[in-house]
Amino acid sequence: MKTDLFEGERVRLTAFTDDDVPQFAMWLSDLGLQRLVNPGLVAPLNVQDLLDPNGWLAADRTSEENTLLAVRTKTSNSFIGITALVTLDAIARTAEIGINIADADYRGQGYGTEVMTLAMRYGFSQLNLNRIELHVFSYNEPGIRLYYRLGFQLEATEREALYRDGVYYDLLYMGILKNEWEATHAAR
Amino acid sequence: MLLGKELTQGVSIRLTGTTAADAASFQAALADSVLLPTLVSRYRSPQVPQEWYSQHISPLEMRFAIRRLEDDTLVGLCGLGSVQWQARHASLLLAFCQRECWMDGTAGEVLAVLERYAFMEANLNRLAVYVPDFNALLADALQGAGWQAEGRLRQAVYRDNALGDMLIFGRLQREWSAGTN
Repeated sequence: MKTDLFEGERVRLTAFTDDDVPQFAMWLSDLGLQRLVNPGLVAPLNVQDLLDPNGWLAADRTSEENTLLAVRTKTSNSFIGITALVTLDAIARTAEIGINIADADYRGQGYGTEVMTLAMRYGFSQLNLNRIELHVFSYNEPGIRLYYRLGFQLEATEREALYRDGVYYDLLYMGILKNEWEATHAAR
Repeated sequence: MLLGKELTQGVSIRLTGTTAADAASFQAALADSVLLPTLVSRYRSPQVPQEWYSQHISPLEMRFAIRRLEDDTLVGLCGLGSVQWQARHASLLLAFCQRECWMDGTAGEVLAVLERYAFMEANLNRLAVYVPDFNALLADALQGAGWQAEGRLRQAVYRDNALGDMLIFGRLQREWSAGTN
């Protein structure tokens, strides 16, 4: 039986703790980063908002529909981002996946691929999901390329669902089924 | 000249607020094999959710009862939900408690009234409808009304021991405007 469920080559996925919140708030104060993960209105946040027991982050962390994980490097235990499986539908066995390598020093080096692979493996082999989907913004081209490489298929385009800087953009839905993931995973 | 009652009124129906007394009509509809696939989305339960009858008129959630002009009979519920005011979009909801409404043109009429309300009163730019593929009546009504099929989320819903797809339909304000001019 596996004991390295959350261990990758360079990163491990761990619990997201209150100690991570100040760093998380600092990352989210970069509105350019927020615009990659938040489809709605972006605005400056502060640590107190994120620590609020009645706030959105507390609700997300405690919801039975969500699994929120911190990404840490194995060499230095540095907190470099988060990944999550959310809006779990236990009957249809689906969930939405998200990732944010928020520390700019770790972007563009394959960490996204490693983290997503760990999270997808957890979703399919432990949560027994049949389907994982994600929502990506049409202007997030690096993200879209990553998801195609991981085997996601483009399933829907919500036209003009996002608004940035006076321009409407599309919201893309991408999905992967368990049998598709197993076929590509087994081949590797 | 500003629209008056025409804002929420069609040829044979009008939109009104909902009341708790409407619950009985929908409870009976759950026993109708034709209507049932159109009335439940995620999980089926023996009782219609109470929030269907809550009077929701806010910038983020709007619920309306659909009543016949001739005798004020309740025939369905509709509304705009999950409004994202910054990007100006919302999801549209539609359900009937009389099966003939799906066949006699009422569905198309309600869609027209609701779209007019969404684009001319709520100042939205986009509407979306999420339709489980077993809800063929709603999918057909949307296609008949000119909505664009924007995609299919594979195996995203479960019903009666089978996985089905979730269809996404969209309508933009400029498409509605071109269609009504």
